[in-house]
Amino acid sequence: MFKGVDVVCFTACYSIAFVFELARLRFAKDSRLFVLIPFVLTALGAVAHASFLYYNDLLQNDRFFSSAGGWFSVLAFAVVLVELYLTLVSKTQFSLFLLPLTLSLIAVSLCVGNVAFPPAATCVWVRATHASALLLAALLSFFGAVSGYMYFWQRNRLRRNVAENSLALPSLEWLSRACRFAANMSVVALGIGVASGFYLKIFSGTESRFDLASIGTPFVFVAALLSRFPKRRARAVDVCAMNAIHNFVVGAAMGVLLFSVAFGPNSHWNPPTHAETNANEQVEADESTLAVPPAQ
Amino acid sequence: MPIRVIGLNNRIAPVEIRELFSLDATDVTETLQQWQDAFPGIEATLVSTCNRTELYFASDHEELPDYKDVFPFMIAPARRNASEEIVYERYRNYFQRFEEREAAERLFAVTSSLDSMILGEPQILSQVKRAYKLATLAHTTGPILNEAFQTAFKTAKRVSVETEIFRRRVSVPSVAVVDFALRIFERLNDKKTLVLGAGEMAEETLKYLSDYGARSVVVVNRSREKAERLAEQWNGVVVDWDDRFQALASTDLAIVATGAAEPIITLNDYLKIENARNVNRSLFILDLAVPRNVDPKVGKRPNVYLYSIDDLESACVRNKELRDKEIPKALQIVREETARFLANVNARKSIDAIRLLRNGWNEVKETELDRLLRKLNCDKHTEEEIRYAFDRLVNKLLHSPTTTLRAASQNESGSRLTEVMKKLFKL
Repeated sequence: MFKGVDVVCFTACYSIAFVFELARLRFAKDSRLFVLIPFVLTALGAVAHASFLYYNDLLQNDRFFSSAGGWFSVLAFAVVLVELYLTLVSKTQFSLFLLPLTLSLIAVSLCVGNVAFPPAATCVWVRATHASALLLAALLSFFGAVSGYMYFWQRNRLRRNVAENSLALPSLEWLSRACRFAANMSVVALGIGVASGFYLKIFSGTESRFDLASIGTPFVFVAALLSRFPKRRARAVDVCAMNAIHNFVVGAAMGVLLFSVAFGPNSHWNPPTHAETNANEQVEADESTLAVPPAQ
Repeated sequence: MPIRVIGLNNRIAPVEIRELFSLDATDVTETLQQWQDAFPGIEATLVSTCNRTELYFASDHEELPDYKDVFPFMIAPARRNASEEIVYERYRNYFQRFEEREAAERLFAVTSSLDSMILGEPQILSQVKRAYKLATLAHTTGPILNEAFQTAFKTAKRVSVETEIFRRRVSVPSVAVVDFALRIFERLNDKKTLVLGAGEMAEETLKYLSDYGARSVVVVNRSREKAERLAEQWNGVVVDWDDRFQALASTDLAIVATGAAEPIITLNDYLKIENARNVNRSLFILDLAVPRNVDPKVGKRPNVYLYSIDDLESACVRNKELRDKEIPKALQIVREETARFLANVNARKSIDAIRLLRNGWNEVKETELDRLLRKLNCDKHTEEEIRYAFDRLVNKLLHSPTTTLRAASQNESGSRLTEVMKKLFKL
């Protein structure tokens, strides 16, 4: 039934939902219809997106995350699910902030293309964990930055006694907690990503790869980790500001690294194939042969 | 459509009159039982709240009693027996009477809180629901009132969902809690509330906070006796006046409403406790006193959200303006639901009439058919053909009046047409 679903279907749903969200700000502040329509459109888009992933990623290549585009598409899908959940739970306009992120991720997934990776010879699960953890770290950082932004928006409205007419935002307490949670969890995800990256470097024959992503990610992780140490006597507003800045900086850094992976030389994406692994082993064998002088 | 209402409310009757006609749940039950004896077959529901007492009565086949006859059923049985001075002629000017469409519209508007003293107050819906439940338990409701009250609840829901009337608060305490406190705090059940002063406004705000889950209450007042009374009411604790700043240091919400002529929380006072406060906690201060009890500079401190009575009142006015704009939309919903209700009731009556008409004609058909078949003494095939022809004849003759009645039942002429039909064919 959903076999023919194309990127255009769910992208159109998300885009129209976003336009409705924008229109709601300006024209239909109190209309229930303007709340319902974008939500339903996003939900329909999510269904179409899920079937697209199923048919184009899983069935076509026998596995999820089978291509660079697939990774970004799955990430966009995760953002949509988070957005739907938050809209349902908090009944606020999260989609206004998260739909542009979703659309950007879909755009990136289209740019990097849908060419399937060659099947990996070793460490398939570690490889998947490495990629998932780093993408999750980026996602959490984006989400935390959005929460921080919303926090300051809400705080400013409360300070100036502005009514909550045009845009419903969650409470300061919730936003502050979400921002802190995102900051902490993004560091954990980064740690997992970096650790699995080191594991891959050591055990899976990818020692020769030294690109921006491989070098930059550990630095981002160390910087993010150091920034999580508690500050002495910081006021709550400052704590939230620090969390928001942390999320924004980590998110931006991860964005740059992902960009370099997506649009740079694409060797970082591709796992070593059987042939590559065999060749490496052959080179190692040759080197050892050369190192030991033949017995006289 | 035979439905009527007689009632009085706070718009036309002062409280000393309203209390004469006030009935509690036991009175209502007893009155409805007496109603059943006095008017068997006539449906009735009695709605009695602090602002109104209204008796709805209806029947689709009996002649409805006069307002004067139902008047005694609006008085609590004990009061009715004790005093004979409460007579219809004396109080009739305080009562409103509505029939048919107006009666239905009245019920729907009351249930949707469009007739309440505070527009959009949610309590009236539960009060009407309770009144309806008492009537169903007393077996004094029937098809018309069941339909009317179900439509009334649906109307209230539509007004609540499709308009902003229920969402816009207009009292200072409700605005303070919903429009401000709940935008700062995710929940109130884990927050500490400090009440400085024990005035009415503080108490009212505390009531709203409690409705939204606030549990831990600390009361501080110069008069310890008053503080203890308030604390007892809200399961709170009393703290001495001199320890008010220590209490403020550990609080999340502070309601300040003393009669002091000068600020009782100055910037210096706050700065002394600022370091003792948890850095992750916001402080929401409601200064409900005039003159103000909290130095406005305190509100400039990080993490402090200070609102004076003026801030809250401006929010109330803003909400009221937005809500008043919604009244025409709500009235339109009431009109739509009234039209739908009338159409349903008329349709039910016309269906009854159609059924009676069809049964009557079928009876005649069967009699005549039997007589004819006995005379003809024909074979089975011919008999079936004759039966088929008679069926077709009756159906064709009935088609036109049936469709006309069905179509007319969608508007008010349907009721009259049904009556004419019943008289014409002696149904």
